[in-house]
Amino acid sequence: MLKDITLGQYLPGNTVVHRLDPRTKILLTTAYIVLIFLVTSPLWYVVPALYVALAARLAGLSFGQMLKSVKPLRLLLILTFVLNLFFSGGTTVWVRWGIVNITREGVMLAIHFSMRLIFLVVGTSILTLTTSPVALSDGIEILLKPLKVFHFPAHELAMMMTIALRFIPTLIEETDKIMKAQQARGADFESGNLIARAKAMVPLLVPLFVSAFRRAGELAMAMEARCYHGGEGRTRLRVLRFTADDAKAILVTVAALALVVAGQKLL
Amino acid sequence: MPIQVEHLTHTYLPGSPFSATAIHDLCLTIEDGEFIGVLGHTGSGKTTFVQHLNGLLKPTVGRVLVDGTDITQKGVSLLDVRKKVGLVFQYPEYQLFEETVAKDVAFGPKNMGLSKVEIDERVRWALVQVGLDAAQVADSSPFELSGGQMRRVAIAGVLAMKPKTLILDEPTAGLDPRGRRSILEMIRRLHAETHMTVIMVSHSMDDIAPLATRLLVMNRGELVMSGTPREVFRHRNELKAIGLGVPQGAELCWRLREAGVPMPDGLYTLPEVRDAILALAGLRPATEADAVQPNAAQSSDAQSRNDQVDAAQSSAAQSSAAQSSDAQSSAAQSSEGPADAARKGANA
Repeated sequence: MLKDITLGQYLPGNTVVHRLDPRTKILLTTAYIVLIFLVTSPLWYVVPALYVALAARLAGLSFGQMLKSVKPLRLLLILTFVLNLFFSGGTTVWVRWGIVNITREGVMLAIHFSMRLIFLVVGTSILTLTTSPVALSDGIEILLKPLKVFHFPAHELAMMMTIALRFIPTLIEETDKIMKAQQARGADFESGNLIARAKAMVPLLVPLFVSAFRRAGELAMAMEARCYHGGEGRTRLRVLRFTADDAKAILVTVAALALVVAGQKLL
Repeated sequence: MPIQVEHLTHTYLPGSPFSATAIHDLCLTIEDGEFIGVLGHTGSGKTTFVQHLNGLLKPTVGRVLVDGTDITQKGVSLLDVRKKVGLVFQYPEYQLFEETVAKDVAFGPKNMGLSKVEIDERVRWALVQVGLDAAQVADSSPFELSGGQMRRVAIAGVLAMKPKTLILDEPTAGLDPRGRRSILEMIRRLHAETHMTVIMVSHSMDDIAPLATRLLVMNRGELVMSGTPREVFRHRNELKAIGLGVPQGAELCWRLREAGVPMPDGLYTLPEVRDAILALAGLRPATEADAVQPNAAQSSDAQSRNDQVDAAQSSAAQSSAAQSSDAQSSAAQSSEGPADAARKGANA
């Protein structure tokens, strides 16, 4: 039953966006986030909308797939919209009903913040949809490398990310198995009040922790046996290289940023 | 009351692109007191199948009846089903979690809502059944025990629920030969003494051959063979084709027959094969000393095979008592003209 959960939302593919250097994609996503925060009036969301539409089209992602990433946020979205709608004050009152005031400013703000949230999630999900977790942590490692001057453990962080991602499916499988084994001994995970349910987790969590530690020990030993000694002097299987496509992507993004900044100032 | 399986089909993740049918249209009845061996290659659906017998998995199609109750129906107490059908998972030592062995074994009976006296009594009984010294291990942490002992504690945890049917999924996986033998002997004794129905999943023919009264052979989610070990092991080539083998004894018979030796059909335990070979050589199997004699006359190849027979004999000895008399008679029947046969044997 736990197997049904899909983890990580990476959709394998071989499009221009998939092939972009992960470093480029991480940097462009950061630039995109800045772009969204630079937009000051709802009308200018046209630029990020076009930008996202272009990226999605190039990555071969459908509208439905993009929208899926917003789904978990729907409660937050509704809350943002409603709170801004009713409680932002303003002078141009459109609707007055008892103590409830809906002003023009309120409506604009509600739209503005909801749009900001939607565009943030949809845009950044393109990164995770088109970049494999391994490529992502590779990219992060290289980007964080300059911070080594300040003793920031870039390599270790990336290695931890990779290992954690690798073991998620294994642990899910293990959980499923232990759960069934305890159910076979009459354990009940599904009924009772909150305290009873928390207590019922003990027979599941203890073996799971034991096996996670065992696996960690085994993995550490296996890594040492293959002469792993940290990031120093380590070469890569896949060497990341910037290509012409990366340059084009950066150009388009800079153009979008310029358009928003200049456009809002001049118009 | 038996366990009936009717048209059982199980599909993982139905409707998704990852959907996979693990079991396809399985029908069978398991009578009380049987010792069933479920054989199959990795991925043949053995584990998926046994998880249906106590309601851990629900069939996509079909139903499972335990003591006449359809356990796939809503409203059936799964706890009641699990009291009747105990399931020991593969590598069960990884499910231990309590501070002491006694507490861990008591987990099942406690979930059944038994009294403290009854629980204590069952814990002691179960530990004895799996061959552990209750006084010695009861208060120690299960994590301090050896791998083999941990497995026994885990099996005791299921036994303490006193199920009518005990299912063991690969109980000897990952054990050394000694641990393997002693677990198998423990299972054999349990079946003989408590008259429990035992269902043992394995891919090792040699583990299951001396124990089971009936074998179910699965391949790609379908039941391809069902019968006594003697019947099933006759189909050596079919078994090979689905990635399984036959026990050493049956394999030896088959190879001798291939080489032109008129070995009788349907033998599979090593002692009965040895006796048949001796009968062919015109010698009555009597003592160990006799058994060595004819081997010396045969080729060195045959010699080494027979050494194997003798070495493995002690481990299979417990099962041979019942079967050897039967084997002897069948060997005697089929080996008409012993002198002729012996000559052929010597040529081979």
